[in-house]
Amino acid sequence: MLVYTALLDDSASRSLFEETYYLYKSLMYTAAYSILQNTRDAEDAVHDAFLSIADHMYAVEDPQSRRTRAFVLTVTESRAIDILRRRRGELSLDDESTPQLPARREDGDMAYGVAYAMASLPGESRRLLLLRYDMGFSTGEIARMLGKSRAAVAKGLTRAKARLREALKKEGIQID
Amino acid sequence: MTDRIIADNIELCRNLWLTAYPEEAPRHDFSEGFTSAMRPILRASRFGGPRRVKNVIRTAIIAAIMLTVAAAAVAASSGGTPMTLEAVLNDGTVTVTAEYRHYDRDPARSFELEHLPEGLSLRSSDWQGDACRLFYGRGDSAFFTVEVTRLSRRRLSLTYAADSFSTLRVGGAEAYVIDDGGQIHVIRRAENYVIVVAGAGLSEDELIKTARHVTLE
Repeated sequence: MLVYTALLDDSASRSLFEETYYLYKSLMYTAAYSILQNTRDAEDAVHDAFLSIADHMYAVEDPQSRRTRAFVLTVTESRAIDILRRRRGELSLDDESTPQLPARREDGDMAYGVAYAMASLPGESRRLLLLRYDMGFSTGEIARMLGKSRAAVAKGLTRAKARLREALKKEGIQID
Repeated sequence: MTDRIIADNIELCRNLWLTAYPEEAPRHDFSEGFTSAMRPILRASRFGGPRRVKNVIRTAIIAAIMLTVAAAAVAASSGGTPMTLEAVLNDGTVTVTAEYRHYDRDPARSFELEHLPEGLSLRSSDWQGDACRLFYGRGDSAFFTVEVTRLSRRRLSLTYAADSFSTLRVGGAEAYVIDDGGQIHVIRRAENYVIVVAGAGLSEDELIKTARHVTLE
């Protein structure tokens, strides 16, 4: 119990954590279940995600914001993939799943094209970019949050950028 | 160059990606195992964190000088069967215990907040069996929760670190006010229901007033 309680050490974080928990637990379950297709595993993923989130509540300013919503879903997806890896007995399982996005607009808007390409990246690449650039976490913080080594996170970010460059190149957008 | 482009467009990326998830997820009734696993971290977040736990442990070790404040009341609508609510102070902690030994055959009743501190609005609500919990918040981090728990052949025990402890009367029965690390908890009962209003960033008077105005329907 002391391990749990040590994760939350000021009253502001405590209230934010509670609010975050009640706002998102069902949504997180939906996200985890879509990956794991198993109730018990999905609940385990949600629990693991909340432990990671509790440790990083200092980054949450407004539980109801889109950024917080993305944060909790990103961590949940990652924890669900970890459980899927364990279940399959695989040390590494490239998460190549892509989200169901709305049809891409074809209006020549470059910012939209870049954003759409990023949102369409395979699971792990997209999650790393969101945690690094949307939430502003450092490589070390992401590593601790996702239970990976710093080297693995750094390598994952490099690969995500390479994938993004490749995707944008196909769209005719040259970024370096 | 890549970093700049990513940073400039990440918000739009995030909002696009979020459309892959429903705005309102279907409610999932979590298992008892999940609820039990989450309970310690939620309780820690609600009731004052490490210091409370340390004090509970210390209580078990050190011989205590005990002050017992007990109250018994009559739940008239249940044929005169009493629910007990008592507080035990012990070396910096206070344990509030409520017990109702009889079987309540009626479904759990709803309740109403007849007073709401200014500027706060309902952020979330959650039902777990015989307990309902409402969370009210405000942008400046002021918040309070209302938990109403029906007892039916059941004992409920809550322990807090007590920086201060006092009693008052609500609805003719004794109630308790506890300051646990800056969070104020007001604990009272109504018939065989325990009502706990807890919050921070609000005055004690405001929280007491809120607790007084929780009415069973």
